[in-house]
Amino acid sequence: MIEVDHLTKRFRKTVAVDDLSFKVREGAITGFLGPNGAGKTTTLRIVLGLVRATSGQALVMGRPYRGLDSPTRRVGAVLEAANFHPGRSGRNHLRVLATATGIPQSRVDDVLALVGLTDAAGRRVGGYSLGMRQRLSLAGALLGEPQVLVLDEPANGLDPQGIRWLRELLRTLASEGKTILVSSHVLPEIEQIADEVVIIHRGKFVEHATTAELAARATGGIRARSPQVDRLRAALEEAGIKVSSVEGDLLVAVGTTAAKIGELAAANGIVLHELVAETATLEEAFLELTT
Amino acid sequence: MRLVGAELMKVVTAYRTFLGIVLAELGIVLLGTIVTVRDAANDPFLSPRFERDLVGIGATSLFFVTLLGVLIATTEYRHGTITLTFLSTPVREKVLAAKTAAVLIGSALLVAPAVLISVGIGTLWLSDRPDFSFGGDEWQLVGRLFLAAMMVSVFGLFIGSALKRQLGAIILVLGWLFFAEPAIGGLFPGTQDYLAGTSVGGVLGDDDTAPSFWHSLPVLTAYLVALGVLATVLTRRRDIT
Repeated sequence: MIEVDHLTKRFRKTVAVDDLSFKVREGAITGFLGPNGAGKTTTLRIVLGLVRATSGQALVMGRPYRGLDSPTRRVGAVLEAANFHPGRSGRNHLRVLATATGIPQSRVDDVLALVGLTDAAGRRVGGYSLGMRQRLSLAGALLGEPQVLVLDEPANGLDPQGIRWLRELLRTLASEGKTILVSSHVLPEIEQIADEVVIIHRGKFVEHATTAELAARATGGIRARSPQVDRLRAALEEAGIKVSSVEGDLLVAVGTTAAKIGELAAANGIVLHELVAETATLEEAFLELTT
Repeated sequence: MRLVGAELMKVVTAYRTFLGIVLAELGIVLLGTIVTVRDAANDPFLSPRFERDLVGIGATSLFFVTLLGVLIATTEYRHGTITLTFLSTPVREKVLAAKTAAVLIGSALLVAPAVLISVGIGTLWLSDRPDFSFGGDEWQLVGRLFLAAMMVSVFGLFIGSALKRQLGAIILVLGWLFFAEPAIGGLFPGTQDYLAGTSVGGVLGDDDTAPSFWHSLPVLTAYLVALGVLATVLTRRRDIT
């Protein structure tokens, strides 16, 4: 659905995107992650035909964005919350977009209702909060009922209720079979909604995996608390299990399972007060891969 | 057509700046007309050029249509709406063509009330004067005023599209027409007839010292073609970051 193929973008001496390749699966929500300055926004803008690649290509539905017939009916985009004329009302902003793309004006009120801006539609955008602007951006992206959504930090400026609303909206859209590529700094949000994640760092590809795979790969280890922690440590090391830390009566072992440690402790007559498998979050996996 | 409609809608739905342009233009034309016609009414004989001068008052609108052209191009960059414009119409030449059509319509709409005010007030005020005659020659000048207005508005649009920075484009246009060209014409007199500002005067035909219409029209057209190519190339290649 979206294919980035050996994409490179240089701004004079700065390499913003460096030989980046990945594919976004049709009908999935794909999180696009990377630290600040990783090249996410530049990549998304190349995908959308706004920035010219130095080399490589980005295809949407098998074509460069510029080659799409009625692009806003195929791809909806939220790039940043500042793309508005402050003197234009929210409704007129959408009416201009609808006129330019031949979308019926009746659709404007539909998307305003969808994003909860009907009551504020007649007000000038200059008076909107950041969250309202973000909702208006989403309304613009959904105007053409596109099959693909490209969202750059869509949760920016949203309050907790807004973030929850966005999460539910994206889930609803995904359940309708839409393909969504979403970049975000709010990793717990991505973890909750994304099927897959693509991670880039300093413009380069780092990882493409399902969210579950990534979290599992970065598992945090097994935490065991015992009054005989020294004996437990010796037993584990004798069994070839790596102990990453010991602090007081607490020990953390990696590369094993809680069941194995429990069995070893029982076999050696070691008392355990606590045995917990630490689960890694997407955030931990992300930090592991990008630091 | 829908792209041209969208461009005109952008002007109408964010109207404050453009309303300011219209009010300033009409205010200046109204004031100029009243002063000119009142002075003429007090003279026993009208100047043989009076009717041409009456049309010439409408030429004040050329400054405002140039500004309109610059603003239609640069407002989108200033507020970032160019991103959405290029997302909905990624073939950027089409956007530039639609803006050109919108500027042509807008410039005609700005000149029409200016002419209506200057010619209308003059005709009503002096209609009983036997030496007042507004005929075919004057209507030809009105036609040339519309043509000149359309051409300078596109001049402004292309410079705005090439530069994209609003203030920079306004300074460049004004500096070019009011400072650079007079200086070049003074230093190299042979170039005078090939300067853009002089050619605008030739197309207008209200200045006897300006080159002829048929000399000025191709010169001004050549400027527009060159600027149009430059604006198209830069717009196509520009990264919207």
